[in-house]
Amino acid sequence: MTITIQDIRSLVGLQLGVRDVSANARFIEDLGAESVDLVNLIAAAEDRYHISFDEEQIARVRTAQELYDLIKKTAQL
Amino acid sequence: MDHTRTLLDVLAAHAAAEPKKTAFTFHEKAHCTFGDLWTNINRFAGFLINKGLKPKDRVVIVLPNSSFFFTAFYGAQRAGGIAVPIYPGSGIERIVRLSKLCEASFIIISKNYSPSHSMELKTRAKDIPASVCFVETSRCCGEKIIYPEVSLKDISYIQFTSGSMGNPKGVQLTHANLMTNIDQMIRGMKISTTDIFVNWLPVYHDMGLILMTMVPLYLGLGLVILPTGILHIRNWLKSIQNYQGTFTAAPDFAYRLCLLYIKDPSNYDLSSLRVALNAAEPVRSSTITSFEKKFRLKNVMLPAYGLAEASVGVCSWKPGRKVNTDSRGFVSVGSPFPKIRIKIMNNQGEAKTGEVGEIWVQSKSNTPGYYKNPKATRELLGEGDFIRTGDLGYRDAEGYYYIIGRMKNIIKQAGINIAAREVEELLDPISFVRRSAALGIDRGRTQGEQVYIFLEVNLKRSLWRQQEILKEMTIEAVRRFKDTFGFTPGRVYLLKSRSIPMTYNGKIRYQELKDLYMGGHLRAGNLILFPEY
Repeated sequence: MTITIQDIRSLVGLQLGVRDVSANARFIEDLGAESVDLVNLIAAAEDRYHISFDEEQIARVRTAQELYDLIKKTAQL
Repeated sequence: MDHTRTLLDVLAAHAAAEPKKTAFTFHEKAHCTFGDLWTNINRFAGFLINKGLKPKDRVVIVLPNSSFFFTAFYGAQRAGGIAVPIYPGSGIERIVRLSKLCEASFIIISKNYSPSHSMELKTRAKDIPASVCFVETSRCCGEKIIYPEVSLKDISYIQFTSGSMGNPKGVQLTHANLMTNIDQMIRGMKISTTDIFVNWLPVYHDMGLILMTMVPLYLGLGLVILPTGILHIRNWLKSIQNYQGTFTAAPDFAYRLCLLYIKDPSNYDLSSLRVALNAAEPVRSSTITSFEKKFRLKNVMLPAYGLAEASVGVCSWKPGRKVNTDSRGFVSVGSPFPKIRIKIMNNQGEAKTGEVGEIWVQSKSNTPGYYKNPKATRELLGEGDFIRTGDLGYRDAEGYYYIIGRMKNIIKQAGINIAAREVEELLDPISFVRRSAALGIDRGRTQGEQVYIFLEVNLKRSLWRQQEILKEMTIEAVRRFKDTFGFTPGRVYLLKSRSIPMTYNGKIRYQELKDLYMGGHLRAGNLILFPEY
């Protein structure tokens, strides 16, 4: 399964209710996300790609690009 | 505790006796003295009086954690009005709706509110009719103002809480209710002049407002107030360390966030903490164990229970004692505060020890009723001054209480009550939505219970695969939800028409929908159009 950065930008947009998410937009500062939004976003990514993130790494994900990198790394793609 | 003074009287007394004493410190920078606080309160009150505020007029306040919040909240009451604090991130729709519900005369916002939104709000507010004012510039200038008498039986403020049938209900709280609950919590949790409060909770909501700010203001304790939100979670813990905070509070979710996001717990010295109150959401015993272990604390996390209809606090565990957990893993919320009685009621009357029933509470801090909602008020008030909480629980053989669940169709996301019906009324009007249903779903993860939204779509079969339309509908639903409640729902699912189970007379069968979703049957039955996860 190929995952593209566009897929992740779309995932972020759906979860946060934002129409055009750029790869480097920061969830909190630029997209208005709050604590619960972030954990729900991580849950959506886990459900979508059938993976489980290491809690260590979740805390450092701040943009769609970083989430994409983490997913690729975790899913070993 | 003397039963003759309102909190306004106490603030005036602090200002007279110790005007230079710090009332609270905000954001680790500015601090406000009791003298300045009282001056600001009076100037704001004078402004409202000059603008024609009549006794008992409602003043809606749309302000975040800030010095200005207290100016407006107490200023409105000083002027003889009734404060109505609402979530500061509310969209215009919500502000107007709540202002109409309580028939407000004034809406107080900040200059930080976007200029275009302020204009629109001012226009819409004319229909109520209400004047929109900026707190920063609303003050009178030294002329002589006659402030009305405020008595203990007057309503101090209205706390909106989600109702199970659509419109939010306005819990009215008198000055007497508040002074009673302040006293009950002080005695129940042994709060004393050596306590230093560090507050991260929203001050426009009961726990942040009454427990975390009214109690310390009443006693003149150290009080540090922080902005709410995840950006400040480290500040919260750092402030406890820097100010040697002894008392803090949060829903279980916030403590779980600390576990998730703080990777260097050794950099936080929370040893000054005496009480880390855990309430507003089901308390997980794993949260207590993990948090205390991670931050090297012992018997500091204090489970507690309460509701807006009882002002805020009803019972808590005993500070300093190891928490009790029952055989099913439920954490005890302890015993009632002084002069509060709890009854567990079922169909046969009072339940026996160990039997689960509805929790009823008797306390002089109980609300006299909801604002102009006699039906809901009648349903609330049981017999003999007991209120029906709608929560389920039991009392064990030692007299300790456990909260097991909820009777009402209210979802609790991150400690905030949301009525399913309120969500559905918000989303039903979206284009192509046939019907919506909202459920509270907790999948055992960090975030706890979340609002899951199910939207039946009215789309031609040929459009079922049109990703753009489905995405747009999802984003629209999330946006509307966020604009109203301030955060996003856990998940939004788009379903085929007639997927949501209904009763013969048109009511949603929530439990069945939940079972269908959790059991994977919606997916297996091909009823979910979007998303694929």
